[in-house]
Amino acid sequence: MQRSRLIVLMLAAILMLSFSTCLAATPREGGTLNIAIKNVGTLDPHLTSSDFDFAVLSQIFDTLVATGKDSSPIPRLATSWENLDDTTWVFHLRQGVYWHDGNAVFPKGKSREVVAEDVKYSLERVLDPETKSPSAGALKNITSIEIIDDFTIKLVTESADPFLLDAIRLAGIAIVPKEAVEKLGAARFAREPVGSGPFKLVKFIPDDQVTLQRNEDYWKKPLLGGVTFKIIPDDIVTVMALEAGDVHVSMSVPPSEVDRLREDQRIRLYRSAQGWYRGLGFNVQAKPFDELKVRKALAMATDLDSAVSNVFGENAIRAYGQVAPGLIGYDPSLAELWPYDPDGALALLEEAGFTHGSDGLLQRDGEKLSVEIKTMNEPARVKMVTIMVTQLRKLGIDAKLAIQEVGTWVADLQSGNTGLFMDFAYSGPTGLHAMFHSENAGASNAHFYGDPQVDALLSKGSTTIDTKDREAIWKKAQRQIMEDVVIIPLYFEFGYTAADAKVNDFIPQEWNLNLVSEENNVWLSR
Amino acid sequence: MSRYILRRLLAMVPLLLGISFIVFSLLNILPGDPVSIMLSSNPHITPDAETIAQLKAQYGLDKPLMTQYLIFLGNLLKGDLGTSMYTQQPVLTAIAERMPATIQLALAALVISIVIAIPVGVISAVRQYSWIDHLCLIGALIGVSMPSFWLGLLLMLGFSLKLRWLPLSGMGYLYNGLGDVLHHLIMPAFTLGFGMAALLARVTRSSMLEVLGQDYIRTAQAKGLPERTVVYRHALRNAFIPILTVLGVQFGYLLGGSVIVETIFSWPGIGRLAVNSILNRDLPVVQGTVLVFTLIFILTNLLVDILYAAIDPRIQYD
Repeated sequence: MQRSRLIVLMLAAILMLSFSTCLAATPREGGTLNIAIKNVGTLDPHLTSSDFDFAVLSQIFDTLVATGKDSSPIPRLATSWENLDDTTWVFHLRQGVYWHDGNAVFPKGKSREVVAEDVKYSLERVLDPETKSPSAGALKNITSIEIIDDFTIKLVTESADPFLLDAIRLAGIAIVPKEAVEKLGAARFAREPVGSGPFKLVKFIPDDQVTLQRNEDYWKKPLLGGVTFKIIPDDIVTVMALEAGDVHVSMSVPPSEVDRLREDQRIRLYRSAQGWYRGLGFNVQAKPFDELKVRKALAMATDLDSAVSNVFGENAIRAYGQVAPGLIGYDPSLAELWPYDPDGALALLEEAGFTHGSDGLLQRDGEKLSVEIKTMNEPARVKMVTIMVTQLRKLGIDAKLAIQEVGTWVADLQSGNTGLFMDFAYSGPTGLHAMFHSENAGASNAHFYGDPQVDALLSKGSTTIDTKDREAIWKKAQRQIMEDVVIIPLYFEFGYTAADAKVNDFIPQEWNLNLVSEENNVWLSR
Repeated sequence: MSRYILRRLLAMVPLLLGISFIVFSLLNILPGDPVSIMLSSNPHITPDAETIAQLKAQYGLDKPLMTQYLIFLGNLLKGDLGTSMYTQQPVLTAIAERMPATIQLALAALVISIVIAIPVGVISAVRQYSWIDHLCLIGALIGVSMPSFWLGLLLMLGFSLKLRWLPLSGMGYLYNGLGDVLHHLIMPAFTLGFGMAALLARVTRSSMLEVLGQDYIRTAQAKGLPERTVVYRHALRNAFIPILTVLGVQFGYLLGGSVIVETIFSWPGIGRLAVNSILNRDLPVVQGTVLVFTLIFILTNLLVDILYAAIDPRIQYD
């Protein structure tokens, strides 16, 4: 009797469990998703280049294209696009998409459809110098914007531009309604934006919160009733807010908290699909880094493989080139170029004329081999550089660490007041061109590197639409740069987003944050 | 009195001009320009030299320093503090929007510190060298030396994460009821008020000790007045001048926004605006906030000076 009762109870429990998992799998409508975000500056998409702003803006506005789970472009306002030739793009717009109503521009029920004219207006607004848009550079290749009909628009670029789709999927080039910008004025539009995205603005309180509510008329009805972005500037407090249940999603998780959160059953950690490039750069015009032998010796002198795995564990992988895995041009075979060989490094330095002085430090003509590594103050980068400095000192190199405030660091990099430094982290598909083309010297190319052959390759790659061809060119350019030891690649760092286990169908932010897209529709279980 | 106030107000003009010039020069000596910082924040966007130069020109950053300063001064005379480079909002609006949050927090912290500090200071003066005096001394020492970010995090850990009594972050709003406001206000106000209370308690104690030794206190005691009346009516009122000075200075600081407490508790006040704008090199906002800080500081000091006369009729201006 006892035993049979136990069996019945167990069966009931199993049944209930399976029933509840069944329930969990059925998307539920309603609820407000609370997202902790570090900062929100402006809600005018054309005035910002901040990832945080983009997370909010991609809920309010539509871009022509969105980013899919595998980082490739997927339809959003444009349902399809085609290349008529290398420089002509045609975008077919989704029909039946309306601007948000119930605001100062479009009264309730008095909205109008989003048409090609809006796309033209928005792109022109980004390009207009008066707008002061940080995204203008990404569109400067466009020479004409032509409306074919209400739902078809043609863009012509000066030269073939393989990165156009990457540019226009950023929320910085979102489509905005002319009436709203003109009626409200730029300052008010930045506070009460009117878009066509899955959520519309209810309230924006600077430094406190952005409240959004579902756009019932969106082409894919959002399951969430609303989204609230809570602005929490401190990373540790963000994690506490997640653990306390104050927020469902934490957009930035400090690396120090990742392992602890991984243990927490109530929380899911999402790793970014792409790792961001982090590495050291040489100013190849500064002495003694203008000598290839010195650069090469420094690249071989420290045990970077173990430093990266010790500092980061699973949160980063070793980088041997600038292009990250998953991007065109990633080249794992570069690893052979970077052996850890302190003896070889010393031999190279001796060849270059350096000898150990009485103080044990390497010197040449009475001058010490001094290496000051400049870095911005970010804990993981500082840790990495500290390890390197320690190992360099052991070899007799007078190595120092200089931790700088971001503004100072940027200024030093751009003015060339450097020798060896923590490099810019431009990791996107145009990263190679930005960081190594001589025309960007003193801006994004802080190495002041200029090699005619590399320049030619980078220019050619930047105008090659065919991905196979571009990949070959990109790899060739990258190999040449690495052989010239312009940089010491360190690691590709993954970002983490942490979310409550109740949040379903969530995809972490890549370019924009997709809460509702062709591929997903985020919902909250009870 | 009114002539005195007028004189003090007029003296503010050169002070404000001087400060604005110092801030302007400092920000220009600091390396880093807003455009490069803005563009280096997003790894997807790779700026080229042309874009950077173009944006700098659009913000007028390519003009000579003196020209930039004169343009700023000209606009200031028209009551225009400029617009933020980062958000394109008028600076005055940005400051005005955040002022209520800062004032709310400052007032609450002030009340908390007075409520804690005055009784503690008075008791430790009256019971000098007793165990209660020593206890208060230790408390004050902890209060002064405990960093506010640490106290804030500890409070959060206890009251938000463990007990779930209070919200971790943000500010409450009246349209959600007074409860919402107080609920959000308690922890940050206490964090801010606690450190201030420590200092205030010590000042109250020493000022009270000085007064308690005076002849008129002995006279009052000899008249047979109750101890409470002697301490609170005769002694405390006379001991109030130094306390008020400290309160005034502290309140001035509080109104400038407490950067650390505002950051830890995600409080949308003016301190965070100032820090963010410095980090972004958002020059107009930095200028604007510093000018407003200076103004507030001078005005609170003036108010304290006027209050002196109200408390102690012997103090007269003119």
